[in-house]
Amino acid sequence: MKIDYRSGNSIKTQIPLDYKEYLKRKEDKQQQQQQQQQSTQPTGAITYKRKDRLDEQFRQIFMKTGIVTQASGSCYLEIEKTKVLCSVYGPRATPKTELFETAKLNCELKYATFSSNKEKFDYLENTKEKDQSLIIYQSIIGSLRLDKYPKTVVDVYILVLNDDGDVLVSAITAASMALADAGVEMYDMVASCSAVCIKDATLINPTAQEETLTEGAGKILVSKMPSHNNITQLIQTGELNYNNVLESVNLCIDGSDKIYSIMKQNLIDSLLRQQKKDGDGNEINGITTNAADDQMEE
Amino acid sequence: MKVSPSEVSFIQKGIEHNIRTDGRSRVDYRHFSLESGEIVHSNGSARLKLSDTEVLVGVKAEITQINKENNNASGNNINVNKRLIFNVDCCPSASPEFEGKGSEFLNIELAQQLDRLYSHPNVIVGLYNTNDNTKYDPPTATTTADDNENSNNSSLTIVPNKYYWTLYIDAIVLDSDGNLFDALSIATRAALFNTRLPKIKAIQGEYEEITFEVNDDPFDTLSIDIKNVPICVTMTKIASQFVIDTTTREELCMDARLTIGVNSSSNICSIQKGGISGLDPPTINQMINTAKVVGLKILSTMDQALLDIQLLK
Amino acid sequence: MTTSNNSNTTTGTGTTTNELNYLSNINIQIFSPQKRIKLKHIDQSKKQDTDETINSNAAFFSKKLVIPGQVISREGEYLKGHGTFHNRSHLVASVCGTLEKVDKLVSVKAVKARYQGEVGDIIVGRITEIASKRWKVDVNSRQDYILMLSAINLPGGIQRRRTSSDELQMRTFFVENDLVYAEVQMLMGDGSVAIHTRNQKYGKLQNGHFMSVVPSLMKRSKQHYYSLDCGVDVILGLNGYIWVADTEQQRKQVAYIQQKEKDSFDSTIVIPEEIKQITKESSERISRVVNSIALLEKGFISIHHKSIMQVYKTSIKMNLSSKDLLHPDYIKQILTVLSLSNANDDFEDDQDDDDINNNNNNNNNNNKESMMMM
Repeated sequence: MKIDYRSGNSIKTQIPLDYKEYLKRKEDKQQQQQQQQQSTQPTGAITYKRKDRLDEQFRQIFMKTGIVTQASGSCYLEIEKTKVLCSVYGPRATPKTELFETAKLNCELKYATFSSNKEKFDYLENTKEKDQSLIIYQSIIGSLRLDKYPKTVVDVYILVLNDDGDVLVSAITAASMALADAGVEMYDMVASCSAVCIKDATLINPTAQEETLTEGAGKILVSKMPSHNNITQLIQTGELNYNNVLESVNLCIDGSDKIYSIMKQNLIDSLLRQQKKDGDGNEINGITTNAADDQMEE
Repeated sequence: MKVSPSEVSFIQKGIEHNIRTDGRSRVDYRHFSLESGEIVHSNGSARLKLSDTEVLVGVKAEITQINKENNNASGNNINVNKRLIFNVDCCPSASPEFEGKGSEFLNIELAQQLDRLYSHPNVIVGLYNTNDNTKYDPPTATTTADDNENSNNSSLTIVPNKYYWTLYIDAIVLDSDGNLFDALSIATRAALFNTRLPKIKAIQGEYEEITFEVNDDPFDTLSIDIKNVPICVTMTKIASQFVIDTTTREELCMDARLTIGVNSSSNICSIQKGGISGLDPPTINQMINTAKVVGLKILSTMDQALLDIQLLK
Repeated sequence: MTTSNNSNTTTGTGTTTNELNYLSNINIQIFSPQKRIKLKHIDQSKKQDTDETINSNAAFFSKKLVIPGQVISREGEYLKGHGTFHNRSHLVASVCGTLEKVDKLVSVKAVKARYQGEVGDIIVGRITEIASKRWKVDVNSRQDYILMLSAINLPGGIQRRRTSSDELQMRTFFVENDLVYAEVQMLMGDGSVAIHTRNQKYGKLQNGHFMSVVPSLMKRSKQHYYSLDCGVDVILGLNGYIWVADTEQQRKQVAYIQQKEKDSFDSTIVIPEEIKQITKESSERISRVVNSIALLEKGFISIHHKSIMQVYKTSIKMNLSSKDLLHPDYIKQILTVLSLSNANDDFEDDQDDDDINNNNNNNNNNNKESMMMM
């Protein structure tokens, strides 16, 4: 499996994604209906079967740092169709001196208007953005050494370009990468992973479709600093029993460890690339893919 | 409210000794009083006073129509199943910190926490007749199963696939001395218990249109079964220990907190972490375990008290 | 955040697992009074005229309690003081509180007003801001009081002019949120108030519990720092801020600081962990004192060392643990016991007034000294 699944690809003309998706959704809906009619399970037990990958399998991830030239640090992250852009400004001076000893962290998540196929942006969506900003804020603040930057402010802006599930995970990961790219001092990077718990399976890294179809099922999001084994964010919704919770939390912990290894590799690559660039003035292609492949084979 | 570093270390020492500054042990809850049915204009209400923390919750029910056309066009059914809508308001009279934009994020955090707590479709298992406690059967679907009908919250259905009850749950924080999450969840549960929905008969007209016949007898109403409704317990980690039911002062010296939703069948309904520092997996494990025990204890006491209230009326 | 943190949590792990057994002690009680007070209709026919109002106010007058807008007397009978104003040939109260009469001068002291400093008052405050050559201190008053750099006690008690290097080192003395034990030095013409800590006993407060009550419950007396019989120190600031700490620990701490100050003049003194340590019993005692004070505030009984100890002893006599003092039922019981015993002996000390005068004299002397220093 390649991490950078689009490396070297120029943009090809293809059937518009939406049309493909439309067909797929139609198919899925039909299947879902059939399943519902067949199943004699009590109400509330939600079932869903993945077709294209295993339950514990991630979608392919692509990330690249240093995308936005104006920002102190930035990261672009794709988990297949979920596309997130994060830029970090700061640490920079703030006119307000209310917080003297530590830097202030600002975190803002925005959904681009074309990011999902919902028709309108209502008030509820607005609170959703703020709520998710807060979750991201809480996940990354523990990893930063803000006491190193008194009287300053660090701004983290995250833009969701396309929402195909697992936005929070992508946003947290991208934010942590961008902060590392900006050279903000931190204890460790934050990796994140989420899962959906349904009747007899736990689906890692769900797509938007999986998220909507399993509306009301148990959902878990974990973000952690792997080298400290410290959990910085834990969110669960839906009714689950104690053992289920522990199981899926553990699964997500493993998942974030995997994401972490990818993040690590990517950062090293980008550092290498920068060195090469500085050295002979042009980028050498191919490093990313090779190194990444080695990583996965381990 | 502010604390100096030496006060923080004093509070931490006390917690290590299992004696907090107000004499409680780590797992002691403050006394709370609960009143219900205070607000006449709502379908249900409750007021909770937990030491100096005071919250007021009102429930308003509204009939909502599922707009099929819109729904299909947008291609997803998220809002269709949202039959409980939460709103929390920390009013500035409670604390000067809530003034202006100060409470903006707190309001959202509290409302979203409640929303997560009630995210499971089977939170409200059913309705029953207020008079004789017999189960009320919601109208069942006569037409073939529609793709939208995931039977979520089906107990709040008036006409299957067309009309259902939406409960607007508005909470106001009147005074605050810590532990808002728990206080809100307990008050919300009590308010739902107190909620009375009028009986409604839908009459199918000739051409698709439906008219409602509302039973206006104030004693012949429907109540909500809160058997499965969860409450949450916040475990706050201070120094190397964790405590429940924190005061504002203790919250100022917390490292991290975990708000855990528990229902009477001891299932976990939501988890949310807060605070700056991280937690390690064994601690989380313990917190969930303790929250389960504490939550069940509160639920059983609460159910008893709610029954008493009902008998008094 | 660091690895040491992890080891801490593992030690915590052991104890909490043991304590799961104590979960049966979780103390929850739910009340549902369901009380509804019927609003009474006021009979308009019995409208009283002003003369009668004054007569009926005689009852109020004897109790010395007035409400805003209440007529105190006819004009000319008395001189108007704080909290009163003239209105159509009547002297009227403008705040609710107790009526105080000195010869012909009548003033109303508000029950819940914010603290207003007088020279020589002993107070507890919290640093809110560091400005040039001064600290701003929150003392439960209308505005922050001022602690000048020249009005603090230098380490080791040495007497010298404050230099610019002292000004740069202001953070080594007090930082934001620190608690200080101080005395009101003077009231300036523009309404701001200066405080000072120019005495060995004043200064930073560390390792104890802070609480705040309504200032009107505090009484002026000879002493505001008490070492109670139960081994707990309390500082009853006149501004309603109260400090509670362990006597033994505070004594050690003071000795340590003095020792350190002798050794080196500069550098912040970090108090080591073993001196910060207090025993489980003393934290129990501190919490009982804290709850006693909270109970006195709920009962609106004036707070001084005698009343605190009375509640403390009553609660022990009633065999209550300190957390029981939070319970509404026990609060009611203890308050009844108190009101019964207070009927027998009055708390008011006639000596109090003399004490204030003495204090004022002393303070005036102090002020002169400090003025000279400046």
